[in-house]
Amino acid sequence: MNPQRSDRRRIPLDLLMMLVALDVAMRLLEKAAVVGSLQTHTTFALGLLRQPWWWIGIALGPFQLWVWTGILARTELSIAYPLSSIAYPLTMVAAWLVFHEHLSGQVWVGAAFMTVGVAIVGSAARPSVRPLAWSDDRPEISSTNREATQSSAGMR
Amino acid sequence: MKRDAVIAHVHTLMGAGFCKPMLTQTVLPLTLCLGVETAQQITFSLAGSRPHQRVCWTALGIGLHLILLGLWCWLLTLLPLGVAAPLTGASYLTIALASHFLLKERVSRRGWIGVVGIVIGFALIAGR
Repeated sequence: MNPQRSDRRRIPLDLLMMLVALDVAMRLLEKAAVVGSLQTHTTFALGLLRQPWWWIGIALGPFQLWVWTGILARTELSIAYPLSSIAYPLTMVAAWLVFHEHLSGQVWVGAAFMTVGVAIVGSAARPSVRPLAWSDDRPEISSTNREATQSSAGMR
Repeated sequence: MKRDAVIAHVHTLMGAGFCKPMLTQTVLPLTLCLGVETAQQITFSLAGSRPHQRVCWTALGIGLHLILLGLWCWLLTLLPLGVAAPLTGASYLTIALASHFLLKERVSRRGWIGVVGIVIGFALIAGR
């Protein structure tokens, strides 16, 4: 392993924390917009567009994309991706704290399986770590394109 | 909708009194969410692999993203955020299957182990 590669295995924790915080914040803003929209007397879609939470959430989107590309510039996808799946349980904790949602033990256990599952799928995302992840017989698809595809997968 | 019904619905959204019968209503938006997200990822993958059609596939992907946003909000009217958020993780399963069958990409053994984890997690959350 060359020095450059080992440097790319270092985790940019500051950016990752920012990414996860943005992910959770966007989910909360979307939920707030939906709840706000249901309390208005217009149609759901129109009510949604009138919610400031909705537009703040939309505005955070490009910023989140920028943070994610910053992470991918500094580390490998197979390292960044599993760590970013921590956003699922954190969203649940945030929903519990902010919206007082009552979630059963089974949901928490299920979310743990889901988080670990996504992390494992994500950790198999780059040929540099596990050569089986992406087919070798499609040389026209570069790893950069893989990154672009995977980055948009995390941008929901 | 009468005001009392709206308040009752908002209470449901806040998590109080949320019960299983609503699960059946969520099948359609959740399936659409996962389907559209998978289609979106396929379009982005095609945008990357076919440079001469990049603009078309990217535009389609952005259009699908907007549709996905609408579907996600529909889902949020039916499920608490704490349930809806982890359920959308199932898109990694559908994307893995789609890339395996449509794009003929090989999914590693480790990837399939992760897929099993996602299926178990999804079943536990959906059958809560």
